[in-house]
Amino acid sequence: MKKLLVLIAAFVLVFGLNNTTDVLAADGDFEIAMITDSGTIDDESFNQGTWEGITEFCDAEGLTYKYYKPAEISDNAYLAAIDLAVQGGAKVVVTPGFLFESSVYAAQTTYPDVKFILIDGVPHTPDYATFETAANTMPILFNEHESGFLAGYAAVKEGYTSLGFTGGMAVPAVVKFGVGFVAGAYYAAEEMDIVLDFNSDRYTYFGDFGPSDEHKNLASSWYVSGTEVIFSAAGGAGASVMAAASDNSALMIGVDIDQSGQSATVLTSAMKQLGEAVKQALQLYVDDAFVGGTTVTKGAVNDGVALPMDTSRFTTFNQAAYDAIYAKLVDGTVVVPASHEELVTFFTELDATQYAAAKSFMDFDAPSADAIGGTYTPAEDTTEEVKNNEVLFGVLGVVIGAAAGAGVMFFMGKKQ
Amino acid sequence: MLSFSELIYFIVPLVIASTVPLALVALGALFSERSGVVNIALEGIMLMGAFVGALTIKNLEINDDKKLLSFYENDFVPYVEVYVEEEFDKTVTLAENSFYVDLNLTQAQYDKMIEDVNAHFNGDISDQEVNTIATSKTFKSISDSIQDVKTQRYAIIGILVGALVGIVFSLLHAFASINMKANQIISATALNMFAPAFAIFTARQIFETQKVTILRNYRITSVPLLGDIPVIGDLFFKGAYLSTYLGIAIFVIAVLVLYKTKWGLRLRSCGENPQAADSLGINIYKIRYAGVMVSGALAGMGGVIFVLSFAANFNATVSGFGFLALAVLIFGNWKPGRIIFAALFFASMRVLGSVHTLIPFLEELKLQPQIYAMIPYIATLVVLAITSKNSAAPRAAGEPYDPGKR
Repeated sequence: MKKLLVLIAAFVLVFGLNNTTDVLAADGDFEIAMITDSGTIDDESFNQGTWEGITEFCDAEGLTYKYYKPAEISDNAYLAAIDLAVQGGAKVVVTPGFLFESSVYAAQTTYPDVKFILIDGVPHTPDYATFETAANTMPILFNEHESGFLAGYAAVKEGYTSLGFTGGMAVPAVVKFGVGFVAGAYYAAEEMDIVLDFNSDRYTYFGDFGPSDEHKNLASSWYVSGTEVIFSAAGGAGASVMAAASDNSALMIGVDIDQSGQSATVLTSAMKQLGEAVKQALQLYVDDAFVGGTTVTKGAVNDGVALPMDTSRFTTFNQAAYDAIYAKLVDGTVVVPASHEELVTFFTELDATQYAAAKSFMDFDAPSADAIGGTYTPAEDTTEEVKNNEVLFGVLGVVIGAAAGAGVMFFMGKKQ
Repeated sequence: MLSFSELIYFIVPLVIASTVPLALVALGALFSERSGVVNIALEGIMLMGAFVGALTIKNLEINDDKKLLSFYENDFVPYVEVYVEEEFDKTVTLAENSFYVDLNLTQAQYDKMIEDVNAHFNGDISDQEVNTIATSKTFKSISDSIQDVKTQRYAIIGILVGALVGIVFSLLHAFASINMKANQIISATALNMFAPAFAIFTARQIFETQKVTILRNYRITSVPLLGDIPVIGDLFFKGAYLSTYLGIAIFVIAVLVLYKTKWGLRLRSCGENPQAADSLGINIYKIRYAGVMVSGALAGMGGVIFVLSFAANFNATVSGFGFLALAVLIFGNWKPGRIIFAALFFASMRVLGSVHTLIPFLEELKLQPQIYAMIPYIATLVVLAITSKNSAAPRAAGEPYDPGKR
C-alpha cells in the first residue's frame, strides 16, 4: 500500500511538473532571453506585456526564447540570472524595469557580444555616480506622462470634473503618469472653459503596489466626497480602487495595459505599448541594425502610448477627439510635463482661471521624477515650522496611542 | 465637505467591514490557543481560504454568466432593440462589447421603458437584471451588465468553501504540532510560506495569471426593511456585505460554544492544564485537533471575506490580516469580548488612516497617515507591558502534550 502511494506520488510529481517545464525542456540554445523583475511574466503589467511581445515576435520569426526568474530582488541575483541566460545561449537579453539599471550596467561590459534591451531604465552604477550606456545596450524609456495626459484629457472631455490620482510608489514611471494626468485634465478644462475639482488633496501615493482595505477605504473616501474618476497607477492596488469604485458606482482609470476586462468600473486605461516596443527592438536585432549606446524614448511620436479606444467606456469622448489630441502630442503643439517642476511651468501657460484652480499642485511637495531608485523621497519641506509641526504631531500620535492603550486597560481591568 | 451625519454613515460601515474579518480570525486564533496550540499560520490559512473561495466564486460566476449571456443575446436584446425603435424612433445596437450607448432619453421615457421591459419579461428575470443593462438613460454593454447582477448565495458558498479549505489546511499544522510534537512556530511559519507560493502556482496553472478576478460586487446597497430604519438603518444596514452579518452570527455562535457548552469548557481546560484534563478522561489530542480545525475554518472564512470586501480580485495576499489578528488576540487578552473591542480599535485606526482627509479636525492636523497606522501597535505594546503580570494567555499554549509530565 505504502509503495503504491509512493508510486502515485511520484507519477503526480512527474506529470504535474511536466506542464510547467515545457519551456525549459526544449533542447538547444535560447537566442532571446528575458529576465523578470520583482513581478512574474503574468503580472498583467509590464513583465507580461514584454513577454507577450517577445513570444509573438519570436514565434513569427522562428527564434528560440526563454525567460529566467531571478532568485530574489537584488543586483547579484539579477546578474546571476543574466549569466544563466548567456550560458543558455542568449544573444539578446531583455530586462523590464528600472530595477535592472545597475545589473545591466555591470553585465554590458562583462558580455560585450550580448545585446541588452533595458526597459524603463538607463544603466548606471548602484550609487548613481556613473551613467553609461554601452554600444550593446538599448535602454527604452516610455513617455508615461503622455499616456497619463491622454487619460486625464479624455476623462475631462467625457464630462467628469472631479478627479483623483493614486500612485503605487513614487517611482519615476508612476510620478510621470500622475503629473501627465494632472496636466491633461487641466488642459481639457481650459479648452472647455470649466473649473475642475481636482487638487493636491486628491493626489497621493499608496506606498505599495498591493491591494488592501486601507487603499480601498481611501479611494472610497474620495468617491463619497464627490470624486467621479480616480486614475490608479498602482499595479495590484488598482483592484482596491476598482472595488471602491464599484461600491460607490463610480469609475477608475487603469494603467500600463488595457484593464477594461477586470472590472466594469474601468473607464479607460493609460497604456504603454511594451510589446510593440520590444518587437521593434528585436526587429532591429534581426535586421542586424541594432543600435545601442543611446536611449530610445517611446511616446506619442512613435506610438509608444495609447488609450484603448475600442474597449473604453466613453459615451461622448470619441475616436475623432482622441485622434485630434493625439496629433497635438505628436506634432509638439502640446508638450506634456514629465516632472513636478515642469508641471508648475505648464500651469503658468494656462489661463488665469485654470492657474488659480491648479494652485494647490504648485505648492504641493510632490516627489520629483529625478528621484530614480525606487524609494519615495519627498522633497524638503519649505518651512521649518511645518516640519516642527509634523514632529510634534507625530509625538502626539504616539502619546494618543499610548493613552488609548492605557485607557483600555484601565477600563477593562475595572470590569473584571 | 460631507456633513457630520454623512461622515458617520460613511465611516461606520467601513469600520465594521474591517472589523469582521479581524475579529473572526482572531477568534480562530483564540480557539486554537485556548486548546493549547499556538497557531501563527493564520495568514497562510486565510490566504488558502481566500484563494479557493475566490476560485469557487469565479467559477460560479462564469457558469452563471454563460446562462445570462445567452438570455441577453437571444431574448432580451432583440426585444429591447425593437422596443426602442418603435417607441422612440431611435436605433440602438446592443452587443456584448458595445460600450455605453447614450440614447438621450428623458427621465420619464427611461422610467416607462424600464417598466415596459420589466412587464414583458415578468417572471423570467428579476427587475434588478433589467435595470442593470439600462442605467442612467445609458445602455451598458452586456458583459458589463452581467457584472452588476448580484447573487449573494455565491458569496456564501465561497465563504463556506473557504472554511472547508481552512480546515483541511490547518490539519497540516495540527498533525505536525499535536501528533508529531513539532515546534509549533516552525510548522506554522512553513504553512505561511507555503500558502502564497502554492496559490500563485496553482492560479497560474489554471488561469495563466496569478490573479483570480471576481467580477461581481457583493455589497448590499441597502438591506430590505432594516435599511429603512432611520439612523440604525443608515449605520448598520446600508452598504454592508452579507459576509459581515454572517461573520457576526458566527462570532456569537462561537462564543456561546466556547463558554456555554461542555465541549467549550474542555477545550479551555486543555490549554490551561492538559494533564489535569487528561486525568479526568478528556482526549487531549481530539480536543486540540478540534481547536486547530475551528481556527482553520474561521481563518479560511476571514480570507474569503477579505477578498470579497476589499479587492475585486485575489492576488496572493491578504495584506497581513492574519498577523494583525494575532495582535488583536493579544490586545484582547485571549477573551472574546475584548477581542471585539480590540478589533474595532484596530479597524477604526486603519480606516482613520485612510479617510482622515474627510474629517475636518483631523485634516487640520495634517498628520502623515502612517501615524494612524502606528497607534494600534503602540497601544498593543503598552497593553502588553501593563498586563504581562495578569495576562490571560493559556498556560499550556505552545507546549506539545506530554502525558508523562505532571
